[in-house]
Amino acid sequence: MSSVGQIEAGEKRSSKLEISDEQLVGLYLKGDIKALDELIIRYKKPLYSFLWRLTASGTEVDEIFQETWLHVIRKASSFEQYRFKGWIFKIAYNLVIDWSRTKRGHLSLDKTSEYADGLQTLADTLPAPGQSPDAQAANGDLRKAIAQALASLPGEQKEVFVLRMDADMSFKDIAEIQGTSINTALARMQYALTKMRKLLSPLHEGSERPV
Amino acid sequence: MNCATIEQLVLLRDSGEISEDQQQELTKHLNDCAACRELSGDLVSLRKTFMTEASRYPEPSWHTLTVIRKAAQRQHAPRSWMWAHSWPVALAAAASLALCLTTLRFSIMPRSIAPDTSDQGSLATEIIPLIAIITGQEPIQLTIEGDETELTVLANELLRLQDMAVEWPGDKMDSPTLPEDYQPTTLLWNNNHGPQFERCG
Repeated sequence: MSSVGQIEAGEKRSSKLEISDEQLVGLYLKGDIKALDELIIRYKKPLYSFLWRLTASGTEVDEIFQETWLHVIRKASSFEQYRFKGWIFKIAYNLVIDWSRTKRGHLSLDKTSEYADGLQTLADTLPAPGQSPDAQAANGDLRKAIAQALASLPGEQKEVFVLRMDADMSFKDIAEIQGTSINTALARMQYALTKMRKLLSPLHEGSERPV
Repeated sequence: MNCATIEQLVLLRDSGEISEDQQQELTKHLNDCAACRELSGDLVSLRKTFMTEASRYPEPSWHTLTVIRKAAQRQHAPRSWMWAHSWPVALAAAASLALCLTTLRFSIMPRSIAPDTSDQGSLATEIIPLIAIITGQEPIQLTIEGDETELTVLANELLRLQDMAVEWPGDKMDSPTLPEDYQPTTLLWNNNHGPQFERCG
């Protein structure tokens, strides 16, 4: 079975669900490659969408995603972090920061994204099989609206918002990643939430609002 | 408590970082404050919207996942130990490589030895360094000369025997077919990076 086939088969099995991320790192260091497969399965989606949101550029996401995991693999033996999740997102975050510095001519966390500029959007590049044209248009509008709203946030607020909403990270972990206090991370989220509520309110006006 | 503080408690509840005392304060305030109830509801709605939209993002490419997994195997998989305990597999690999080498033309040189395609080594001499590649033991770097197609066959065979059977990435090859005028190529094998082609001329 091919490498990717093994990862995909692991997604169906998920026999290691009860094992913590940190235990999986330990198993991998002992030579259990399937332990790393399980970690990839767990973080593939949130990490990838996190990178999409922050870079807003499809060409570099795979590269940064790959470099994040290669860093994890290289440094796994010295992993002594309190939580794997915080560690891997911190690596990805730092790589995005590095990338944004070297690609100033293209995009950076503080700059308006391609979506907001009305250039080619991610929505334009993604097929949506099985959906009606109306549904596809609605999804494209949603994606564009979210991208535009995120692009309007200052970099640090945007990072907190994406780390919280996409990566489901705690404020303690976010503060650690940004090298700041929990109160600062909370304040950034408050500002971001206020703005996002205002910009995206038409999207969920009709939806149920649990207390 | 004012609404700004309550807003922080709403966020802390959402992230699972709220204490029992804070939860009680929050519940009490939400019962009396419509604006904070609305904020709490909007946060939940926004999260659902983000999750729905994120689920439609593409996934990492097959090639990216393959590169990651191969790097993971090279870095920490106990290959030498595994092979030491499975001699039948090692013997099968040797037989497979012997077959490969008797049908294809190769010249294998350990690192630091100048290439000389006219100096073909014996079968045994050629198999030993290849087995070393598969088992992850020294030498970790070899230079193998031959034609492009044959080296591709050998590279795939080595990858397969390393339990890393993957299709050879097409973008690594300049051309999938040999040109009419034969052009020798060199396969540089390093156990840390895998195979890499170099075309002469």
